[in-house]
Amino acid sequence: MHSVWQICQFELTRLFLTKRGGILLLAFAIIWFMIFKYPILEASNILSNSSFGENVSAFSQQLNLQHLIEWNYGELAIYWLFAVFAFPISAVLMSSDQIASDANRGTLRFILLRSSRNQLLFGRFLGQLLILISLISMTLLTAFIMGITRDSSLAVGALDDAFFVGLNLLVISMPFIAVTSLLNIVLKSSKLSIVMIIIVLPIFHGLISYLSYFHQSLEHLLLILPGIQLIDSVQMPHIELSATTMVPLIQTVIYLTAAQFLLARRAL
Amino acid sequence: MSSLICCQGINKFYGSKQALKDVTFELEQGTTTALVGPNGAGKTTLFSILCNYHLPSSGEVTILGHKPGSNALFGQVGALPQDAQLDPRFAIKHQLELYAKLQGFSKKQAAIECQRVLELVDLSQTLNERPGALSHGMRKRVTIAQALIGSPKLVMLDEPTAGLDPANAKNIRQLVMDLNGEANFVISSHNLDELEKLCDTVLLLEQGKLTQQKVGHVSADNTRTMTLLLDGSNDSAIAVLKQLSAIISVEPLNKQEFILNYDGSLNPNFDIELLQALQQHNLNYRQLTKGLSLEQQLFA
Repeated sequence: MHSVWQICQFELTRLFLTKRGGILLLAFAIIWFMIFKYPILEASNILSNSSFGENVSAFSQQLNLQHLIEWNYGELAIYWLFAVFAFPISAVLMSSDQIASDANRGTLRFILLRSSRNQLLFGRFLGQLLILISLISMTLLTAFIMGITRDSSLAVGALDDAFFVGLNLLVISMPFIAVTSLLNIVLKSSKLSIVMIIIVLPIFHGLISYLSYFHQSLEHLLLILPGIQLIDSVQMPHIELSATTMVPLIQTVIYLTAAQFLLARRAL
Repeated sequence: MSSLICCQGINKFYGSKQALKDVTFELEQGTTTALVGPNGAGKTTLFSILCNYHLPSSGEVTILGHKPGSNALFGQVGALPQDAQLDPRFAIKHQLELYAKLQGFSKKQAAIECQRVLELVDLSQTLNERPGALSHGMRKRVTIAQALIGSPKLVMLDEPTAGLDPANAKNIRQLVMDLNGEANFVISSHNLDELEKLCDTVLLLEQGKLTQQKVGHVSADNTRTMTLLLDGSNDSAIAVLKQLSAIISVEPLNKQEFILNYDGSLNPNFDIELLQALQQHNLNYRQLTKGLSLEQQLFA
């Protein structure tokens, strides 16, 4: 565990102390500033608009957001709506180079004289989780404070919701980090890993959906794709840990097991 | 003496190409070993298997009694892998300290250890530099320094002086000599003169096969052989050398260099007689070596 923790800590410095990490953080901060400044600040007005759910449904028939209106804490509801899609993408971008460039440069060879391949894999995965936890905590806290500023009486009742929002965001993002770990090993390139997840995975999704018209059993293949449950998550009537949460957890275990299997056999 | 490295029937295939063919050898502790062979002979592949970067297709490897990559070897084995680079985004101190901490050093001890190993390669002033700010030679020396963190029992260096200027190459050779006894070195290099000075055991790889394993380059047979390098060519040299009392044969390698085979039992002071004869005939010599050079032993 000592080595896993050391590698995990080093991942934090990789994001917070390097130029690439700084650029990613800056982009993250700008995007979230815009989200906070407009939709979240206006959350209570947006949600009190009776046509909110209908408008969104008209935009996308798959989305049913009527229940978000029922959330007492509007800021948290709008935060959840954006974060449920934003954090998986952020997780992919920030964790896209877990192993690839170090392997290509040979830096991993220095590390592997002092730690096992499993320690490396899990240390870096946990490091990315820590980064994600810190980013979720910061944004969630901001949304929470904005809600308190509007109506402090709602704060105590919303604590549970805030906790489950954070937990769900973490669980939802985990398979994206795990699949990036796997793709880093297979593709040996961080950029290709991003391309695979952001462009190729949706194509797979469309392809499997199309083929499942002919063979319905193929629909089960969709369960292997990270983010397949995102729409269900955002439509949950109450924010909690539900059966939907199990999908990303199982995906994470599968991806990490596959990554572990391949990394143990890969020449480095 | 316990085993340092034991390889039994190592084979390594890259697709249909066989990089290592049934490589078997055992090295004892207390040796400094040279791994030599032409380009593509499989030296780096063997290094990579010993360091657990590559897995053998078949065969067994143990280092200090453990399989490569075992937790028990962390901190016991240091290596300079060929062409491996430090991360250009972090200061050297940051990276070396991580390596030290992975070996079990506390934060404070890690800082002291990094300073120590960088001093060994005369680069303590680069502690806060990033690798990109250093020359190729300096980066190489820093990577040698990382191999020495924690004073490992086995240090494997793949081409340690390639790309270094003569002064720094000499410093690295001196460092290996100084640490001899504290650590066991396995050194891969094309520089046979360098290996001859540093190593007492030689593994020769040719086309993936281990063809020779020499222990001690001054063997019993070679005590009756000397290699003489004259300062300039002289046609009369062979005649002078053939007149020496215990001489058996004189083999000219070229116009200046000769291998002298002699009977040591007839003249135990053959070298003194040789030097006197050279002086009498105004033959200046540049180098006189007991036995054959490593190059002669391996490739003659």
